[in-house]
Amino acid sequence: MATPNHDHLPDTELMRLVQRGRQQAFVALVRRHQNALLNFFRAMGVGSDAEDMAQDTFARLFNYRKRYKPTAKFTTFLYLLARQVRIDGLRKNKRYAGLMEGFAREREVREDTPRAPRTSGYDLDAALASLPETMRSVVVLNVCRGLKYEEVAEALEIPLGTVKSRMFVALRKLKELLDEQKTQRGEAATKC
Amino acid sequence: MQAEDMTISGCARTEDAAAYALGEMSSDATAAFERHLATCPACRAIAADIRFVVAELRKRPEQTVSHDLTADILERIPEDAWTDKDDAAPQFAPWAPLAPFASARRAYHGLKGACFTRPRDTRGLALRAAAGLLVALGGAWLAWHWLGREPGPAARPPVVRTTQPKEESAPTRADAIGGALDWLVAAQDYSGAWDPVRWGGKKEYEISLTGMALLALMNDRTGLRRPAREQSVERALEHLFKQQKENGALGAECAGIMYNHSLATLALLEAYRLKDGPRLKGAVDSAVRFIGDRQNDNGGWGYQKGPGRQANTSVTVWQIKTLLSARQAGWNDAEAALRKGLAWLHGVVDEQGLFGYQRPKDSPEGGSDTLTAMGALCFFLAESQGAEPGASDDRIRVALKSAASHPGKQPDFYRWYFVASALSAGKEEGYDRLLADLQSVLLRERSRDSAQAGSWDPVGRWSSAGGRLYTTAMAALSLQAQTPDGQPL
Repeated sequence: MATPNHDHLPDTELMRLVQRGRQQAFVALVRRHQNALLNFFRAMGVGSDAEDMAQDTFARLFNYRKRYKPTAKFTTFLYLLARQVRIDGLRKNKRYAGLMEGFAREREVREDTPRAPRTSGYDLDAALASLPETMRSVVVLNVCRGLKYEEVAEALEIPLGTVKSRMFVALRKLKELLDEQKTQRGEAATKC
Repeated sequence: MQAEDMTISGCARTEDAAAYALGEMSSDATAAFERHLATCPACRAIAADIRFVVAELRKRPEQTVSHDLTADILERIPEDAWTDKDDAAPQFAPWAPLAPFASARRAYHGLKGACFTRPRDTRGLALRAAAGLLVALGGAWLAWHWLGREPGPAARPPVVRTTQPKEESAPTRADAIGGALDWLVAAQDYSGAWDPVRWGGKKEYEISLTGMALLALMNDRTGLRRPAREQSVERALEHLFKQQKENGALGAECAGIMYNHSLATLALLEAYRLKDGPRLKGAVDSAVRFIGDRQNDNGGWGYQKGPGRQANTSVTVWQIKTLLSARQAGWNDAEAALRKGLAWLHGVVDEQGLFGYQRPKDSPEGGSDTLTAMGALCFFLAESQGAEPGASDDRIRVALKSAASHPGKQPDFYRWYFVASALSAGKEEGYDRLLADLQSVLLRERSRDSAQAGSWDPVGRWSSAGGRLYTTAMAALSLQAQTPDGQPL
């Protein structure tokens, strides 16, 4: 019998099928969201481990499949799991053990992130890396991954008001950082 | 520190600037904040800064995985966790052919919001399917007789009306629109089209439905700042470009080609308003020409051009509406066709201001409310452009008010859309109240199916042609109609 093509089904329906043990539905979800997850982890500053973390997230998705309710948007659930994978990864990695105290204080953990090629005159990865983890995750999920404020709040398990205030502060901070980069470029050009 | 500084140095609403720049506000809140922006330089500056940062962030290139991760992930999951290793069992999707089983079963048990749990063993499946079939057939027969047999663009199967209880409190208009647009984005195919068959409609109306969904998405300008919405629109436009034939027609020749063509052209025109370009202009050029080519000698349009293909108000209104939209966007080469079309439309109005289908007092559907709203909309839009002063008169305005005073005996998204649009465009005293009443009916009719949150159930007239896509897109468009200062759809 032919394998059913699940590509046209929405995420919520695919998850229903995964809950019923449908491997092809799970495969469709992985193929649909693997690039998005990779880019989420990249934007969060994860380097060469980004694909591994994407795999971990999908494995966790399968393990927690029964907890998914179709009332929630699938990507909100997926990024909630991705966020947990990210935190677990930081905790497990001995290289960053000394920084965990800082993480608890909502400070950024810098990693050996391969930089995305620049398409603007700014080093956006450096600017994002300068943000505290909690602010960065809000910006990445909303601006880079397209989640609404309410969905960001659900994925990060924080109040909606916190999302709003963090987003505001983070974007203002990013503007300052980009302005600084611009000034430094101007000074360097003058010296040349 | 930064937040404190900014709060102190700016006004109390600076934090809203981020939500505004990111399109996170409802349309009402956006309008209110834009009024605030006009008087607050601090918020204007912050909104501009934030827009700049967001635009830069969105320039970050997306990366792709080095290889498909599927095999690696499946290796981590026990083989016996799967039930479909060797088969392709039928799916119990709400839009699948077995959907009546689920609907009827929910209705039978009266379970509000309950999910239909698929049986695990095949014997159970067979028994439940058989029971479901009996219930569904019974329910479908009842629904067929309850809703009445309405002639449609094509022969239609019976519709099972859901009997879920209504919500105690309806959502706000902005929330309902947002939910509908999110549902539409999620329902889109990767080709960029919206496939009616998946959602209970007919394949031949794919272009119309893609046009409807596109219009609804593009009407929410702030929502377009969200990547998912923006990408959805781009993919859909790309799909429409591919459907255009050499003669300018958007879609294949079929009975519904003029519906398909006009709705797709309206969507292209709206896209052109958002972002002009030679490709869009070329597509609209030839699409507008095609409408002129298909006009009957008497000025109207029918399902197809030619002897025996009589013009009718429904098809004609869509073409006039499209030509009016084109004229508003700068196309002047269809003036003659437009004037002839409006003249034909005048010819179907009776002494009471009611519009007929092919002539005055011609009402094959048993009523003239929808046709009257359609005709009134065209006249109001034409008048608003200044080229046809006095196109409408008091008879038509009163007739529309009468048509809008009751929502109808059954769900009718086609009627609701045109009544809402005409009330919005008419700007007559009392129209705003009628529009608000109509929109409150729409809010109450939202689907209670949690798996289809944000959509409207495919019930009522024409729903078998467009399914859930049609009801949801038309509901969103109807809710987007604004008075007194909003733009008519």
